[in-house]
Amino acid sequence: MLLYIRKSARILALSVLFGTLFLGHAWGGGGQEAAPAQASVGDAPSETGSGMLRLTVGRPLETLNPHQQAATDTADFLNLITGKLYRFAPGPGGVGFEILSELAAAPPVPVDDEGTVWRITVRDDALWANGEPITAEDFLYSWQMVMDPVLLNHRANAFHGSQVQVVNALEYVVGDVSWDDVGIDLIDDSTFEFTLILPVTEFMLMNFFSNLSVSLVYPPLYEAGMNADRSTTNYGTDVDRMVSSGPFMVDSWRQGSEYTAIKNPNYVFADRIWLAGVNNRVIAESGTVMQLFERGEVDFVELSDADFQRFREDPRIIEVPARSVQRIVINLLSTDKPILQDVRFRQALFFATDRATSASVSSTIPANYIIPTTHVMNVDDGTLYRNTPEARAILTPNLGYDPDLARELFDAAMADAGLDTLSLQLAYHEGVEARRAVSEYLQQHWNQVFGGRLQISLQAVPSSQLAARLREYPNNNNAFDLGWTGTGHDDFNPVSALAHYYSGTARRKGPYFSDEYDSLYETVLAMPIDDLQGRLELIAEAERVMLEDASFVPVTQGLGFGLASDRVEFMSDGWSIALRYGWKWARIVD
Amino acid sequence: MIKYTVQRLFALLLTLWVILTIAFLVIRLMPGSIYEDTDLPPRLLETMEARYQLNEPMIVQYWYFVQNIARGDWGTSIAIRVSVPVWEVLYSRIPVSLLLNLLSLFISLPIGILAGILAALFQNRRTDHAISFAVVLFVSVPSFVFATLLQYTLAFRFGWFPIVYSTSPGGTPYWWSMILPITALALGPIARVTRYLRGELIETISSDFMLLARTKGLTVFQATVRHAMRNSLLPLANIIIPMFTSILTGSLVIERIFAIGGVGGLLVNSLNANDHPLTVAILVFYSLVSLLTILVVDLSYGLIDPRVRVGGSKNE
Amino acid sequence: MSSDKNSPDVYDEQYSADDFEFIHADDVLADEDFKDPAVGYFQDAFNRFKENRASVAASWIILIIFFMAIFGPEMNDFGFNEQNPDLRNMPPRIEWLRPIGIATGNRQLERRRVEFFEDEERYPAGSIIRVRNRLTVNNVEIADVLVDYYAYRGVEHSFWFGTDYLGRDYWTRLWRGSRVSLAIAIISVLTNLLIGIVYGAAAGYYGGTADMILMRICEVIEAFPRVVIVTLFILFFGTGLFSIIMSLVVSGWIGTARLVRAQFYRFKLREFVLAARTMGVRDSVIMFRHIFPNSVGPIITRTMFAVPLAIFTESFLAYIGLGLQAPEPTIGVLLSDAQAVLLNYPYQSLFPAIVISLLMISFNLFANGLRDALDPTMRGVK
Repeated sequence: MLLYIRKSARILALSVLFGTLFLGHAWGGGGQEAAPAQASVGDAPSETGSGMLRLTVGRPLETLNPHQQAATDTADFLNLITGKLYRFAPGPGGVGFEILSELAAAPPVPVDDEGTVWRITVRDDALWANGEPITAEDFLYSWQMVMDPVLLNHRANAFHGSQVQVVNALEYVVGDVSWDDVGIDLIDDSTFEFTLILPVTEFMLMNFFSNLSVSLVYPPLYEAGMNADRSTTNYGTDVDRMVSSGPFMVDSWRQGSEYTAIKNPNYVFADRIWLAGVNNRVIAESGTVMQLFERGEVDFVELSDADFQRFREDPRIIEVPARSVQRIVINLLSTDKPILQDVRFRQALFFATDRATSASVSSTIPANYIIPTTHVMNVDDGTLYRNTPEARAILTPNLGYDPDLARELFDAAMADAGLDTLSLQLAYHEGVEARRAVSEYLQQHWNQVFGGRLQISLQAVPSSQLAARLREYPNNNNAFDLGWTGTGHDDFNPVSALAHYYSGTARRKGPYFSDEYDSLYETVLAMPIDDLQGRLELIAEAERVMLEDASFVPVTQGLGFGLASDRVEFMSDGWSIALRYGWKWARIVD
Repeated sequence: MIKYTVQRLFALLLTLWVILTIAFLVIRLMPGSIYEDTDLPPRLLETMEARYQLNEPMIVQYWYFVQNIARGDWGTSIAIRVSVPVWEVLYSRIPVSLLLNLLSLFISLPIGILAGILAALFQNRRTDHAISFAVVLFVSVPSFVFATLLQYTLAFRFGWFPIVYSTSPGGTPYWWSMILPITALALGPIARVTRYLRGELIETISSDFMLLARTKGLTVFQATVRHAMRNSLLPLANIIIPMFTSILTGSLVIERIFAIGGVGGLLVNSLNANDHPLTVAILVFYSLVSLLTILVVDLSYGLIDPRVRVGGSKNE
Repeated sequence: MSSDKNSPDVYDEQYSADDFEFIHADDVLADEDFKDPAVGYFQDAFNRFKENRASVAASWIILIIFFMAIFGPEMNDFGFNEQNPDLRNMPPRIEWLRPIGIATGNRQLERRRVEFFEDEERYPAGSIIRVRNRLTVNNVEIADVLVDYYAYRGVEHSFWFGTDYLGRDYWTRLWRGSRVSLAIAIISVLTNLLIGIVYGAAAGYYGGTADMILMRICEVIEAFPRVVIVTLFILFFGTGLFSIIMSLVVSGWIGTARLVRAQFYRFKLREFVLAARTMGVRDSVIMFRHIFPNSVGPIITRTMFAVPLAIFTESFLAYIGLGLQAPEPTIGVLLSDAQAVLLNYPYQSLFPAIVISLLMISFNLFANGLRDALDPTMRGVK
């Protein structure tokens, strides 16, 4: 046991260090160090680039229309081929990162003091992949269409769903106001003015406009693809029904099996793109991918738990910390099992959880917190939220594992409920091996901690159904007892990790109600944007309130591992792969 | 016969309608929303769900559903290939599955029939034991283990074949990459046909008319092929039905392991992604395929075995 | 049935003069009583079954597997869900097989950093057996190292078949899994048999409109792919024994029904049925006393083939993630888990694959023998 705690602690320390390193460098005036050796390929990329990067993905591409995409793999590919106002890129010398003004001419300019009105000017020299100029009207069209009240795209919430909330964006989508009332105005040929509900910083706005949902679509084809009542468009349903505008352009798309992008010579920063292209092969079976990698036919593989054990000491290994905390939601509305409403019982589960072992059986890191380690509190100096003294102060010792306290709470709750033994059902994602392993472990472990008085039965559920079950609480109080969930958030905004638990959010994964929490959340949203310390304290306080209420038991934070082949040379120090942005800047050395 | 065929065709349409209704009910009763992964404000969610009439009572939704299908509008895919008409999604995936499965069936039927005849003729002798053992081996190891082993040894270790199916059609590498999946697909059917035919033939060989055939001077082989085979084909049809069905529906396991973008995993994916229109279309497609094969086999009963009067009542 | 017909070989016997005797004309002349006991249908079948050595061997294997499925999990001290998170994926070690190099408990660790080899904390003394393939990658020296994995992890006792991803004893889980798989198979096959026979008999015997309707119902059920049926059961009833058995039953009986129906079509117009009907025998009696026995052979054969097929289907369901409720193992669950780590821990695939293959092979051989033995036309034939 001791061995395992030590090992997990090491992994934790490593990843935190790794996180601090890259973000620390990012704004810490890095760039003095020498650039990585580039002699093997030449000093500048050629017109068409050289070397095809060969990747694999688990699921087929669903669309090339950025207004409709939902899956991560699709987003990764669209990020290669669609133009945006701003884009993350490796920092000078390959250290940290910088934000490029890609299709914008310069960073946003504040108009008022509060940070709610901003202006952005678009470039006048940018081109579509087909050679036509990209205009401000193209952007205006793309934004109007993503919010169109008839189309009702998957991404219709683009201008309302984050801290960047454009005035009347939501009202326009649901059909209450006309387009003229929306806070997006083209004030001259190339300058937009945005009127926002909440104050934001320059960084937040640039981060926002690096999102896929507010990137470009090609108006003529978007319009041509409309059906009679303009309720749907076939834009992006095939290669010839869209035009690329990003670093790469779509070359081929074989349904269900493969899709490829090649270098876009018209891209603004074409001189920074070394690759000839990126090829994605759809392979769902992880064993097959591993074999292809070992035979040198693909360039990157994500490692399963077993493969990680095998390649643990391989120097090619890359750590990829996941951006969400895996936690067990407790149905505190349950009327079948009213003991779940008892905060002592929920806390008992929290303290009975041995997170170190849970992490070691699933190759993850233990988490006794809710906001993951990847969240950046201060974008100016790269401070991670989890590393701040305020965030550390709310954590319980020994990774929140205290079996004696757990038993005490458990006994008290059980006595009050008049129960001798209790059976609960824990639902987990079918097909996610790590989650099943932890579930099986906790089933036995909890049973031991509580002396056999708590029986857990496990149930595998397809992931979409699991989410649905956790969300059923407004209509059904007994849809589940315990269920796994995990939510990803915007890395550069810890507040976004809080939004999920706010009672005003519609599709929350599981019930959680606290007036105290709600008011903290509302306060932090409305705070002046430069009051970092005040925000930090409130966020930590909100997290503490949540943890204390224990309506969910955080267990682990995902930690992926990957292997990259020797022929790939990354133009950065690894952060970019972690955030899945980095591929396009890589080079191939054959 | 014609009257019967027309009757059956009407019955087929009726069956399809029943299936369609069940599919509709089952899918609408499933928990889960089309908009699964988005944190939408309640008002927007309502608006978006209203677009698919999800806010209406079930009976009204069913009315819309039937109306649309009567108009030939099966809807567009919601999650698997967004905004693409559902049948187009299916068409784009079927050819690969069709090709692979047809090839494997073309291989497995003759091999299976031949092996079955041999095993029956040499019943309980060495040939029979060898064939039976091979048959049992082929059916005894699950296809995902077999496919993985084939892939690991022949492709990964020895490098004789590509690990995955080639995506660019035409040329030697393409056909070469099909050998492993086809082999993996064919093993099961070969074994099934052999086993079934052996059993049927052994039963027929010992019957009186075979004795007659032998008496009039036919060799065992001639008698078997000309007389016994005809009798054994009828039950064999029972075995071949699911094979024809799988030609069009693809193989989930093999397509997954060899990374073939066929129709095999589409149904599970669309079920899991809550892509309701696509799920309905796939279900209807699968049903149609299986109904048509059953119909064809039933009609051919009368052709293969004249003693069977199709549809005859007990007194006929 | 009595043995009132002489079997042909009676005539072949040699009679000597001693076999005959003189008798008086007024003596009653009577045939000698048959001394041989009467050989019934099943006795006769059994006699012929015994002749088929492969089938007999197969039945022994089946018995052994049943025995192991019942008693195997109790043969060592580990429970099927007893976890050792520190001892995950241990290789198999059987003491008395070690000298011949099987189940030694050794494992090759690939691409390990050479710098750590001296570290006693990582590699306890005597754990390293052999180091090879030294090479330098990204300026780090690495090598493959063969270790005595039990010494490496500091474990005293042996796991005969190794352990799984939670350090559970694989021997115990394997036999426990066989037990559950067999139970699933047998329950579902018997249920299918019952439904299939009654349904098929009705459809085949009555024919006409009844057949038309009954077969259309079959088609509706068959039209739903098994994956959909399982998924739906799991959605509404959750994973577990019930969902799996039901998904094997919902459409599983249709094959038997079709078979029985075809057999009924074959026999219902034969003379012996007409004769029975002429004598006013009830329909149900005609169906099950006169026609049905002709189908017993194919049905039993089918049932025997269906048992391994059910285990097989169960393993397919487990592969696509619709297995039994964890932590209960089945052969399919073990196999599909193992398939994912085939390249890392091949032994985890090997054991369940052997068991499932043995089950399939022996059930099939057993069924083959049974089929030949039960064939009514083979009756009396040696």
